[in-house]
Amino acid sequence: MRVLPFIIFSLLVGALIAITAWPLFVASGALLSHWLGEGSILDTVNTVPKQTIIDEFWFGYQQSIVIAIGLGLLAALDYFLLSRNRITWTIAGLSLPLACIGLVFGFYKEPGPLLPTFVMTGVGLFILYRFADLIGRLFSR
Amino acid sequence: MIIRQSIALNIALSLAIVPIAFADQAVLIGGGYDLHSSKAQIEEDMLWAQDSLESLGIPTTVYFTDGDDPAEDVHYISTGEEYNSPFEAISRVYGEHLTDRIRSRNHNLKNVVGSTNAEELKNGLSQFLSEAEQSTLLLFNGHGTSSNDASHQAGITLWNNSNIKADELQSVLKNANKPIRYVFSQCYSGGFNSMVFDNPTEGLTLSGQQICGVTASSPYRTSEACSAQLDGGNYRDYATFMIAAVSGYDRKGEILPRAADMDNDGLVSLREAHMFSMETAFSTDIAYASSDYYLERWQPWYLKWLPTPRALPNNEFARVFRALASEHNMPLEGNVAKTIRSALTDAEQSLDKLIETYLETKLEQTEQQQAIKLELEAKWPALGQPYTNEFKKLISGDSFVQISQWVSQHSGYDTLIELQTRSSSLNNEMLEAERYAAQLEKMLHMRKLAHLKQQLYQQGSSDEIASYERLIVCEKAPISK
Repeated sequence: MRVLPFIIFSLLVGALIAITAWPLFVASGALLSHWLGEGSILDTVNTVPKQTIIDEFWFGYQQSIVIAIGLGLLAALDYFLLSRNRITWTIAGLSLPLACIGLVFGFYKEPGPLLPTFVMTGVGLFILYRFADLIGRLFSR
Repeated sequence: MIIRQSIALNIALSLAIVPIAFADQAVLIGGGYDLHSSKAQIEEDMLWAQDSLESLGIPTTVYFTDGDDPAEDVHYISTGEEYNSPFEAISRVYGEHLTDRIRSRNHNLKNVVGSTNAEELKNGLSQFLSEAEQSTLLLFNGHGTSSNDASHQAGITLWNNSNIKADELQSVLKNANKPIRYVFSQCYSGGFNSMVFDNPTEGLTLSGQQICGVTASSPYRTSEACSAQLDGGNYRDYATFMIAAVSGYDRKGEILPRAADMDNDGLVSLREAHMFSMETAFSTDIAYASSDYYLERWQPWYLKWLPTPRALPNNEFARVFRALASEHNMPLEGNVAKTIRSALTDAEQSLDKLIETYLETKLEQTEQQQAIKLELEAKWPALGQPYTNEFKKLISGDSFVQISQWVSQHSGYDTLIELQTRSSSLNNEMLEAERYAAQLEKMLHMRKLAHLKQQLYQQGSSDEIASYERLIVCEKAPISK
């Protein structure tokens, strides 16, 4: 792939990560809450009007946008630097779960109980990143 | 000399920490929005609350329906021999078995200073509170309205179908110079907790005045007050549990199994009464203190969607949870939250089945009534044409007694009685099932609050923690003198 299209595709990968970071975080939290049987979201779903939940989701989306853009830029840079080489490709995208782990330790005063959700979000973003990479490779042939 | 000084200091200190009586006076507001909705149970609960508060030395001022107008404003079911009506059989065919016992009268409350007509109440309260030189306990017992768009738009429905929304009441209460505590038991009453904030719609800055309270439900949930019935006894509004916790006696005059005074200081605070009621009230209410509402409003976007640890932090909510779990035989080992959720699903399914059976019974009942009505109206056609001259003639003579006797000897009449008895008992079963489901929801609610409180102390700023504690201090002021 030539450099300019590759930069553009890296940015697209970054945009995909930035857009999906918050929904993936919410989905991870809800899924883990369901498995564990405990989490604010489980009670909220049954006790608060759907529109309020949608508003809160949207509010979270807006509030997290800076972090999501940061993750997107990290993904774009990671993709640009690591995905072209066969050796570095093996670790490409791993910066996302690592960044998520970093976020929980940097952002929360008591990170322990929150770590699983962030790890799950990071793994989800990594899978998306790899999926985008696979699509990109299919189209570049 | 040193010992004397020390004793004097101790006396001075102990005097300094004697809490100021929480409620120096109480304002009771209540009743329905019209005669039909002004059920006798509301009045009964208000009478009991008034007597209990006055026996504690707290003077009461009352705003009730049409105020001191002698017109009928309470709707009730009369009992006793004098009401053994010969028309029961007809009322069973054309309505319910208690239809012909429904009566209306004027209220029996004392110290009624005004009507609950929204404008009159707002003006009256404004003046009362601006002149008040003592702290006030505000109790509302009646009906409420919801607003899904904004919780602060929840309202109380007042006489003549008037309404006061939470933010409007907040403006009225701002006239008070002294602390205000409220206990609201209407449906969707949780929306009124927004009154403790400077801006009811958003933000965490508390109002400048000292205001806090307890509501029977969240802004989005109905409360037991909505099930107020005409025949008394079975309806348990949250305010009555609160008053019972303070007075030490329940509505039937029975002494409570234990005192609500958890810190054994000889005084019951609003918070103690609330926690005690949460633990002991077997009703459909899942009550909120203003500080609980603060915790929910505080929870930031980055914590709202996260799971919480299985282990419960050690705080007052966890204690109430454990007491409720033990009371309802919920095992504390394993994944308790999952066990409760599964029990809740079962309880909801049982309730759905009961509702289904109830609706089927009601349908059968209607069909049976219809069958009797057809024969009845074939024999006495005027019965099917009310408001006609023939009908007027029929009801003014003795024919009604004959008709009633004819109905009571009808072959389908016993079946109708059986169906009406069954639907009435199913109604009570549904209420009991709802109450049981509410206990399970309450357990989950307590667990949620236990975690939320811990989250606030772990992740919240010092200002946020200070605001929460300010509400707790307000709620911890004693009710009883």
